Amino acid sequence: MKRRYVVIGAGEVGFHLARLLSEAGHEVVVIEKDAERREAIEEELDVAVVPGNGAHLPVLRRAEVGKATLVLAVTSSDEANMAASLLSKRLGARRTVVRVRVAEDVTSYRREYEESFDVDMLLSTQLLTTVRILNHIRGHNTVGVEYLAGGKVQLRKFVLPSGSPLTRRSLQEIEFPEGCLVVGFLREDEVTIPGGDDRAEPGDEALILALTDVMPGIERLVSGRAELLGSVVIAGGGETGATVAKALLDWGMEVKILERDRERARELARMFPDYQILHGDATELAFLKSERIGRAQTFIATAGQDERNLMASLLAQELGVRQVVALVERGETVRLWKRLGLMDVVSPRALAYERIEEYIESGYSPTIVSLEEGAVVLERKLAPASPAAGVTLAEINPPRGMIVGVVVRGDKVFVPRGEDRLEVGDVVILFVRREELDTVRLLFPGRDRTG
Amino acid sequence: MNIRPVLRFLGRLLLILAFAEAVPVVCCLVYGETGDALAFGATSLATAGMGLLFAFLGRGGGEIYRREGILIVVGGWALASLFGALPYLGTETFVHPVNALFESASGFTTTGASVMTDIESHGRGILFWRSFTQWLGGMGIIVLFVALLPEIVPGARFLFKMEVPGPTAETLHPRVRDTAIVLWKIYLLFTVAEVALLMLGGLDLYDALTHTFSTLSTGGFSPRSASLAAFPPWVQGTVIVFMVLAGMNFSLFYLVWKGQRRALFRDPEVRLFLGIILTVTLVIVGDLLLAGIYDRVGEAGLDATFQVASLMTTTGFATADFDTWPLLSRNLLVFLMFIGGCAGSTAGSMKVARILVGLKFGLREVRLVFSPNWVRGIFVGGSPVPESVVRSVAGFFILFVSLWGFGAVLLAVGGEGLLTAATASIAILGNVGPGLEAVGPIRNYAHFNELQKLLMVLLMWLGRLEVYAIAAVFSLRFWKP
Repeated sequence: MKRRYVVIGAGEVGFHLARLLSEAGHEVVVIEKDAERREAIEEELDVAVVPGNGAHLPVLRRAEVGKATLVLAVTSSDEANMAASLLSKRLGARRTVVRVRVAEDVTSYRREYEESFDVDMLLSTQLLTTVRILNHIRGHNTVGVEYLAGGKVQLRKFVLPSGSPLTRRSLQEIEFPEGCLVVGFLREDEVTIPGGDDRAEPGDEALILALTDVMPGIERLVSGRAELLGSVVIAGGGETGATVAKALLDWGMEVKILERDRERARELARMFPDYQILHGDATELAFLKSERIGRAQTFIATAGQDERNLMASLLAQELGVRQVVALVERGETVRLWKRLGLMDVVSPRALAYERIEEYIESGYSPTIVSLEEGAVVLERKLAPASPAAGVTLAEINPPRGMIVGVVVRGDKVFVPRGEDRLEVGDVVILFVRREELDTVRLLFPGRDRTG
Repeated sequence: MNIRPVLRFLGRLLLILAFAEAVPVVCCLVYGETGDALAFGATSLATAGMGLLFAFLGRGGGEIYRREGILIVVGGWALASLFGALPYLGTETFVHPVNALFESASGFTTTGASVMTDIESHGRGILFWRSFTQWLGGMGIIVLFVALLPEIVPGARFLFKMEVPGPTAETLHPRVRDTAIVLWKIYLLFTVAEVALLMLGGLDLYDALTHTFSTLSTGGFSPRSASLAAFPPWVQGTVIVFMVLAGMNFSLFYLVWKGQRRALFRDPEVRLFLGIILTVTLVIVGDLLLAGIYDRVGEAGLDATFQVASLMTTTGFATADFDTWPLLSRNLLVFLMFIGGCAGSTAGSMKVARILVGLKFGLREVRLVFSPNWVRGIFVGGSPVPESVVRSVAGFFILFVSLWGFGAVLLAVGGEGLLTAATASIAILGNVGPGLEAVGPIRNYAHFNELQKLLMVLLMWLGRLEVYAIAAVFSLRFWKP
């Protein structure tokens, strides 16, 4: 079916998406401020180009966003993207995707942003990048993360390798940490809710709901790898570097951050008192040598410039670092990096457009598990009218297709047991198979936002 | 240069052309011209065979960049003219291949200049083909090709822009194929309307079709020696209206159709276009009456309007021998040939939009002589024209006028008079058709020598594709990797 897409901002992400969608035979309109970019697009792609700022109403009108199936706001300005989303919806656009930079916007405030600016999917390049970098470092297999209850709870999708304990033992034989639940296995795109004596096959995906602070433990458990207590060097303490560093806090690894700018280095030292912050240039061999960088387990190049990252990565490789992860801004050069032996290359923009592609292909499901696969995650605030208010979980006796996963009560977050009583004002996170949706509507009346 | 995708495109183009060549077979059979029907069938098969060969040679991958795009457009027009010439040879309309090529190129480029000495002695099938090539070339063979193409082709937008006349080609739909389809729909709608109105005026289907083909494409071929002078005022009036419509920007018709009723008359280019037609017509009517060529205002009015509309839109139909008109009228008509129709129309020559931008550019230079620090953009109808477009227009002016002068010199070589050579040059380069004196409206181009005819074929292509693309192919650097 022919659809109409409006892409706001023709940077690398926008350009790639516009090409992809127009080559799939859809009508694509690109809004771009810069005249030179516009010329490049007109030459290469079969799309209409509207000049101007996508956060301005007349520009959006000219692009006829009202007729659009999906508006992709992917400029480099968060504010412009949000405004564009809200205005597009007012003009009648069906759906919008907004890209923001800062990871926290998505992990903690996704819901608020999505509601305020009428966004259907909020995504952060930084967040996608961090998740991917962490995957590389630990050999973990997170293929999707959904942040719930303001980031306090996560639902993760893992690919299970053959060495994973989940494929070797049944669920009741595995010792899971407190605050986590295996809510589903995904086999051939169909979700099953496992019982205690079920186990997964290698290659299956597992959906695990857990409190954010126990997630690192779960990752280790699922991947089935012995803990490698090595050191990590982060070259470049910019925003991405800092986000990665922050994510490593819970892992008990030795972390060094190399930062060229003295002021920024001081700032990092205040942010991460447990880490070793070094002021120096990661592209200087003498500096790397004197700091014994070659002994590190992992070297992450996040200097913010491809040239610097390339140089630093090659030097680290030369010095004998076991694993080098490099950030590449220009996605089209990824192949060249791999030819130089740098296998773990992460391109933030490529990640962003891959995620959007996935969103479109899945039939616009912003969540990592969708009703097409048989189940969905719902977040509900308990209203006084709810039949479940003031009742213990055992009394509710939820059917097998409905898991009351996590309860958020004020600052307290926990996985409820049978004797726990649900109170008015609690936020409950439910994992529901499609045949139990009616039960949920009865027990927890509310708006189906995530569904 | 990726030659494979170019060959593949051209192969498909030839297949479309082969299909077009099969159309006159019907006409031949209706009028009992069995021999000519066979000739058309044979040329159609030959063209299809060549198309398949091209498609075979061009199989496999290869991307299209600027150079490939230019080569496809230029090659497409060259091949259409070459293979479109085959029916003239097959039906023995012409013996000499250069004459056949000239007539074919004149058809596709909608010039309407002919080397036929006695039109009515030829078969109805071949005369149908002559007009039909104009209809195909009018909206553009590449635009037709893009519209018929089932798949999405990268570079299609560039091909489209290369062919659509005017300094800027707007696209009406996000996808260029949809734009091409809309343009052809409007073109078809006009075709049906004009055929119906002409038949209402007493023409039979054959005359109505052939003249409609030549009107809407602003081509000018007529299966009658007397051109439209043979028909009553109602028919001439209808043709005037459709010539003027064909000389306007087709995108504007789409906007009108979409509900923006005032889009057409609010357009600065269309206003100037109609203004020029009106003013020049009034001056010529006065001139004709003063010179005593006409007695009645009505007749003078009709003939003046027809000739002005015909030459301004570069159609080249004639209802009067304007070569016998007074000097002022003749001068004005030649002047109109240089202007041409609007951008995005089927008309040829320089285009009103370019004249508008070019004049404003010239005037800005004048002001810059005495206030060199003055900074100002060029505006048309309140919206700014990008400097890149202004530059391209200025370059076009220089090249177009140079080509005209160059053509005039070479066409005068064989002993033709200066006025003949000069007006023939603009009539050919501007895709108009008739000029003055030896190439006047009741004369033809048969008396030029073979080399000059080939030169004119080149000028017709240069005019139709607006100089740049063809000129690029003649640049040595174009072929260097």
